[in-house]
Amino acid sequence: MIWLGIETANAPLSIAVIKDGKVIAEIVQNIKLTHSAGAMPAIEEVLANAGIKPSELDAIAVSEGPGSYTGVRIGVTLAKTLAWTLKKPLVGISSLKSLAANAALYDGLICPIFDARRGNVYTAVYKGCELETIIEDYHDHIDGLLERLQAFEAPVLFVGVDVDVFWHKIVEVLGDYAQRTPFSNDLPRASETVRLATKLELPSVDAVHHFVPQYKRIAEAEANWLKEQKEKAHE
Amino acid sequence: MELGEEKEMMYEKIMNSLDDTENFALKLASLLEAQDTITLEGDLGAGKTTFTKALAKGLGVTRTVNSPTFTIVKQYEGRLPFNHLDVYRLAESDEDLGWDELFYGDAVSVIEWAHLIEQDLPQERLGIEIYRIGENQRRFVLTPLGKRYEALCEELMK
Repeated sequence: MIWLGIETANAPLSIAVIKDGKVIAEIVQNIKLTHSAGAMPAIEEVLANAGIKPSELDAIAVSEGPGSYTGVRIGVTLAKTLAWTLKKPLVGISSLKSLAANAALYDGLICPIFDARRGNVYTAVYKGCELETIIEDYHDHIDGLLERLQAFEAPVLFVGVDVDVFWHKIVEVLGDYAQRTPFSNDLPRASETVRLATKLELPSVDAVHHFVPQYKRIAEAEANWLKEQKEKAHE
Repeated sequence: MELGEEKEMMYEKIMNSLDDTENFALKLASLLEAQDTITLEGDLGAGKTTFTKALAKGLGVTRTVNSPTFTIVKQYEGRLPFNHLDVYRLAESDEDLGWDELFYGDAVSVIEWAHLIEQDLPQERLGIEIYRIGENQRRFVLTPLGKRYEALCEELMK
C-alpha cells in the first residue's frame, strides 16, 4: 500500500511517500516560499526520490485544515486533483491532529497551535499516544483557550512553530503547567498525516468530488447573527 | 462598526493629469507599511486600475497588475507583498475567505468594492474615492480611519 501525504495548511510544507507502513521519502521545510510555487515541485521531488510513479499510489492523505485559508486551499486542491485524476481515495486529516501527532509519545494533554492573527488561534487538545480528542478543533482568542486549559489543572504540552507568538502569555497564565516540545518537533510532518489516515477506513473514489477543507471558523456575519440571537434570548 | 460621534476626517486632492495620479500613487506607496489597508471606490473608468497599477509599481511589484474581478484576490511580491482584491463577486455572500491572514499578515492590501465586505475590513484603514471630473482630471477624496492613516494623509498632503 503506497500513500502520498500532503501538508500545506500553514507556512510549513511537508510531503511524504509511505510504503507498507514505512516512510520512503519526506520533505519537511519552513522557508519563505509560497505553497503555490513550492508544493507541486516538492511532490514531484519526493515521488522521484522514492522512485514511485503517480500511477503507483494507492491513496492520498491531506491535512484538511484548519489553518491558513490559502494554505489549506492549495493542499486540498492538489490532493483532490491528484486523487480525482488518478482515481485514488482521498483521506482528510485535521491539520491540528497531524501536528499533535509529533508529540504522541507524551502521555498527557497536547495542545497544537496555529496563529490565526489578531490574538486568535486555531487549536485543539488531544490526550496521550492515541490522541484522544479532549477539545475539538476550533478557533478562539488565546485568552479563551488559556482559560479552558487552566481548568484542567494539569500540564499541557504545546506544539508548533506558532507557539512562539503566544508563549509569553501561555506561561503567564499556566505557569509550570506550560510545557513545550523540543523545536525539532514543531513542524508538521506529512508522514504523521498519512499515519493517522491509515487508521481510518478508506472512502470511495467518488467521495473525492465532495471533499472540502475544514476552516473551523464561522464568518463574521454569522458570528454577529449568533451573538444577536443570544442577546435577544437573554432579554 | 460604531464610529460614535467621532467626526470623520476628509482630504481632497485634484489630479489634473494622469501623471498627477501616478505620482500621487507612487508617493503613497513609499509611505505604506505591512498591514496597511486601502479601500478604493469609483465608477467604471474613474481610474481605480490606473491608480492601483501605479501603487503596485511604487511598492516594487514588477509583474503586470490586472483585474482580480474573477479571482477576487491577486497577490504580488514587491518591497512588501501586495494583495489586490476586488470583492464585487462577494455581494450577498457571507463567506470568509481568510480575511485575517490577508489583512493582518505582511502585506499591503487594496480592496475594490470594499463596502460589500464592510464588517470583515480592519476598522482602521484608508478610504479613497475617485471621481471623474474631466478627460484626465480626477478628484480624490481620502478618508483616514484611525491615527495611523490620519498621519499618513497629513504626510501625503504635504
